[in-house]
Amino acid sequence: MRVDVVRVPTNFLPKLTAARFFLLTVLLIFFTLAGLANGGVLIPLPDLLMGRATDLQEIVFLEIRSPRVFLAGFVGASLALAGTVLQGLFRNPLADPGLIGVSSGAAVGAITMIVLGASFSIPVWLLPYTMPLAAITGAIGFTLLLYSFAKYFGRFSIVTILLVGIAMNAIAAVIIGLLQYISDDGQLRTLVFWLMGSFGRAQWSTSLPAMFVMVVASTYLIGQIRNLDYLQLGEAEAYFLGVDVPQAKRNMILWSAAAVGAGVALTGIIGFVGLVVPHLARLLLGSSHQVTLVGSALIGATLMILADLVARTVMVPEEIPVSLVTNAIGAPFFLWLIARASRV
Amino acid sequence: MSLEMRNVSYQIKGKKLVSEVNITVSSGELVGLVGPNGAGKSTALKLMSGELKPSFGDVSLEGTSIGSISPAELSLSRSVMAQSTNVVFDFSVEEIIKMGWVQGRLVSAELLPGAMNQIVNECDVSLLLNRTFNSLSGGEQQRVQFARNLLQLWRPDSKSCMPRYLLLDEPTASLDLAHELLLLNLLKSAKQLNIGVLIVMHDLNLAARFLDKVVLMTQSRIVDIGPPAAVLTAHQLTEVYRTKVLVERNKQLDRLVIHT
Repeated sequence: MRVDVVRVPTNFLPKLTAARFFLLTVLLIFFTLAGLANGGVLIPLPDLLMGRATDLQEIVFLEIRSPRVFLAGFVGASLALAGTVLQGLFRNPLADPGLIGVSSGAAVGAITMIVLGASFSIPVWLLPYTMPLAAITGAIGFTLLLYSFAKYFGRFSIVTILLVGIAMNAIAAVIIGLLQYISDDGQLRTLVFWLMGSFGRAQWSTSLPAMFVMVVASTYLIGQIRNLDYLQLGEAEAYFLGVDVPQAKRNMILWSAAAVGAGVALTGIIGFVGLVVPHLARLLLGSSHQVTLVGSALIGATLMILADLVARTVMVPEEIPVSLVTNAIGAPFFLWLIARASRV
Repeated sequence: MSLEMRNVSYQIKGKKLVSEVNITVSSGELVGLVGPNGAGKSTALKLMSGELKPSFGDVSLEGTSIGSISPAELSLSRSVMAQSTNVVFDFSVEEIIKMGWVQGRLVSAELLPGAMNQIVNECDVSLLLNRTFNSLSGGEQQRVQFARNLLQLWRPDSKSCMPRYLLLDEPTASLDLAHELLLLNLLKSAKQLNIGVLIVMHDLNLAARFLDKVVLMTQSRIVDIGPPAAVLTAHQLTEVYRTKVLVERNKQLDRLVIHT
């Protein structure tokens, strides 16, 4: 049997969609540059390039601003991508990364460290990594627990995953509540801020490993275009079209958890991006995952950089938690989506 | 060359939905499952498709147990049309049909537009292509799903001798008279392309007219299996459906006519 070169049908990207992708990329570049230039210290980028920037501006740019802006971009892209994958996998427009327990797991890990960390003896060199490590351990632990429960109870059916996810989130809420109850005032303030998310703690030493995980996970998720499209017809149909469904579900959930967990571990909980951006991408580009996966990553990155820019510039020299900004933008947008859907 | 189930039983929570069923679908053969509601027809089809694993017995494709064939490999030689499909997000009809193109490993993608064109016209869905799947009526959705299944099994002439199987669960349930006939005639021409068809259907007149082989089921078992004229007798149908059924040969139409 002669086997021809594999070629995916390529006439799927109409001109209009290509133009929109171009526009989204331009927006991402624009806001990245805006994010790098603006903040407590203004850094005119042309000056920086020409070597006319002050030492302070250079240090702020290299050590504070850049890791922060890039981390925001990566986290935004990962959250949005994971949201799109999970909505597609669960065939549910209300799915978001919070659903698979990864965010609440990260919160349990991080808050345990905030409240009980002082009682552990931690070597000095490890100190900058303790919070992210605790959060990622929590994220992985909760996702694996959810995975094994869902597999044990209901052969890993979508409904069981959703129900187990609700139960896991409730368990996390109990643990977090308990830790809040025994925390002192300082710890309480720290953990409340952690739960509202911020890119203020971004530094290269912790951001680079997280970005690496996010890139690997995102690459895997973007490769799931066909599987996700086929799954839209239902799990049985996806199988008839050649998808190894149990394997696809397992891998997509675990890689989504990795993409989200790596970011959340550094930034804390950031709401609405994983839920809303996939809808925005579908609205602008169409429903096929050929466009929504990359599209939502672009939009997620842009919005997160913008949200962080707003968070650190509206009340200079103070900065507000980034979740306040994403929720403030996300919630009305979501209402508008509902109104739009009910009009049709 | 055949898709075959041997002594297959399927039970769930102690209840047998299919007992000791033997069905063979040869390539180029049109086989139909008929029988009252709850007879086990859809379950038998799901077992044949690999969606359900038999509790006992085995389903094999060209002699190989389908449990040991990867989904990707299986998708190249059998396609399945379920009773209904619910698509959550807005996909266009064109996108849905193109999902049937799984043969990228065997067939050059340059042939896709031609194949699409041919199938879309044959199935009379060309006017629906730019609409969203969710805006279609039930019958239109069935025609689109049927087109997707035909695309999945489509091969260029040079490769049309490859055996392939098409399994359909009540594909004409929501179709109007004309489209029902269109679909069955398309199945008839699929036979010429070496495609074996297993179809669940309720219309006994169409079964008598189009099928090569009828599998009559009731209460999870096969009652009789054979050519329509031998299986669809007044006596057997009356017993199986528990209602008076008449069967006669209409000389004008030159075929069996079944009525109650």
